[in-house]
Order: sequence, then structure tokens, then C-alpha cells
Amino acid sequence: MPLYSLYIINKAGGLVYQKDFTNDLKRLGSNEYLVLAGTFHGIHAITARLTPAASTARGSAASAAAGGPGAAGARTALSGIQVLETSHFKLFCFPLATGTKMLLIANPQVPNVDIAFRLIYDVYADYVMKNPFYTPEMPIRAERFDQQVAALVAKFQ
Amino acid sequence: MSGAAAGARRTSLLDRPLNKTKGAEVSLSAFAFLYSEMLQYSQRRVSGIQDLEKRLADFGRAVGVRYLALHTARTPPPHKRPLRVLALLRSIHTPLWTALFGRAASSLEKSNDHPREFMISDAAPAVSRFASVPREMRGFLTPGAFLAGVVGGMADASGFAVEACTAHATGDDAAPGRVTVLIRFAEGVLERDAMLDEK
Repeated sequence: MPLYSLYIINKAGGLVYQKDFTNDLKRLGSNEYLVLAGTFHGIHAITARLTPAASTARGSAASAAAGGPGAAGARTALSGIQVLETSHFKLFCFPLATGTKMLLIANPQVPNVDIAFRLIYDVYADYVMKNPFYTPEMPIRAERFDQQVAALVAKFQ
Repeated sequence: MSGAAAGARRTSLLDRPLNKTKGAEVSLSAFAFLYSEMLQYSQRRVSGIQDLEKRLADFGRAVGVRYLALHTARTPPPHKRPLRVLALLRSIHTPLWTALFGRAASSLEKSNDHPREFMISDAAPAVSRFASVPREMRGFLTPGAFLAGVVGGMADASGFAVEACTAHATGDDAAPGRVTVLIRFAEGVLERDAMLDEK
């Protein structure tokens, strides 16, 4: 089971999607997931500021700061956390162009999840963003997105 | 759905050749975003789901009526107007559907429940390819209502009076986005057909 779960955090730090791909994880309450997402969002914003290369990109970062953390422009220069490694899992972060972040939690043996992110992003663009009933920044409740993600993840397991 | 491609050269819409369809196709993504916006625009302006479906069907109707004229103009002569119900349905199912969506509809059937009812279904129509209907609307709303308008508009504009034309989400696991358009012709349409047969 290389992939454990997927989180999608909107640009304000709210959790819009959470899915576990294995039954071995302990389920948390929905509030706890929201807190986790908010905490990660904050840490991500801080780490983006900590980057030593920040001084060279300050010009673009200053203009982007008006748009809040994760705004376009700052992203390429200051990406914040990309991977977080622990003894029990690895957390990968994939920032989208809109400031939305996708997190994949995976087995620590997994070297990277670039392909999985790319494919999930494709499915997200199709079945979430092109879904007429989806309001941006709101929680994702799309049956077909669930199905597509499940099918995708099954290929990696 | 074919439309205008933005060329490097600026020409007015009226200067563009009417018959040129190659390279003027609109991408599925662009259509999906446009349709999403049409649906959300309508959703903000209606009081109920039936109203919403009617609005989508009205959009489709305008497309159907106009596209029939455009398609006829693009087809090389001699122009033969369909005179029989079956000929009309076949022309909607294959050439018109292909011109609009790039491929023919999946099936064309006669209803068992009603003598004046026919069904055209598409396994993966562009209007519901990416849509997930929210749980509270499931069973009440189909994003395919637009297609009902298209079919109804085409039939009406061809001189076949339509009593009702509705779209139903008939998706299953194999084809989750399947939409079936149920078209019921007005009284007299099939009688006229029978009269033509007698001659």
C-alpha cells in the first residue's frame, strides 16, 4: 500500500477533500482533519518565507504577498514544503497554479509521487473544475471524481 | 460543437466562410467550462429544478433550430428535407449529432410505452461528461436537459410538431454519463406518416 491518503486544501487553508486509500489508518473526526489542513497551510506559508533563496525573489514575493500566501508569482521562487519525511510516512505537497494544494501521504519507501500527482491533477481538472455543480473553494462532493481517483490509486497500489 | 476559431488575422464574423468547419472545432474542455457557466448562470435565476431544466432546454432549443439551418446550408445540394418521422430521427441521430458533437449518438429506439414516443441516447455526451449531480438533486435533474432542447428544436424546425421532449439520466456503471432524450410527437404527425405510406 504505497499511497495512504489524499488531501486537497484550498487557497484559504480550508480542507476541501480528504480520502484514505487504506483501512489501516485511524479515522479522525472531521474537525480534526480541518485542523490538520489548516496547520499544514500555515506551516507551508512559513516555510515558503524561510527559503534562503527568498532574497533573490523578494520583488515578486512582495507583489504576491498582497494576494496572501501561496499567491501566484511567489510560488515558483518560494515553494514551501515539498516533502515531509517521518519514520512512518512521507507527505508530499503539490501546489496548483490557483493556490490550491494537493497532499499525498505515502509509505516512507516511496521515492516520489510525481506521476500520481500529475494524474490526480488531470482528474481534478476534469471532474472537479469542469463539473457544473462545483463551486470553487468549496468542499468537493463529486461522485465521479471519487471514482476516478479510486481507479487511479488502485493502479499504484 | 463547431464554432469560430480565433485566427491571427482579424476578420469579422460575417467575412468568415460559412462552410469551413475543419479546424474550427471547439475543444471539449472549453465546451465543458462554457456549459458549466451556462448551468450556474441558470441556477442563479431559477426557483426550482424543473425551471432549471426548462432553461437549459431553452438554450438547447435555440441551438437546435439554428444548427439545423446552418447544417443544411453546409450540406452540398440537393437538399432533401426529411418527410418521415424515421428519416428525421435518423438525420438527428447521425449527421446532425456528428456535426455538433463529433460523433453519432449511441442509439435510436422506439418507445414501448407510447406509440408516439422515440428515444435517442448518447452514452457519453459532452454536456454530462464531467458532471456529478449533487445527491440532493439526483434523480430530479439531468444536465442533459440541453440535449432535449436541441432535439426538440430540430424536430420542430423540420416541421414535425413536438408535444414533449425530455432528457433523462440513464447512466449505469459502464456509461455513467448516459443521457436519453425522449421525444413525443404531437398527434397527427404519425398519421401524416401513415398517409404518405399509403400513396
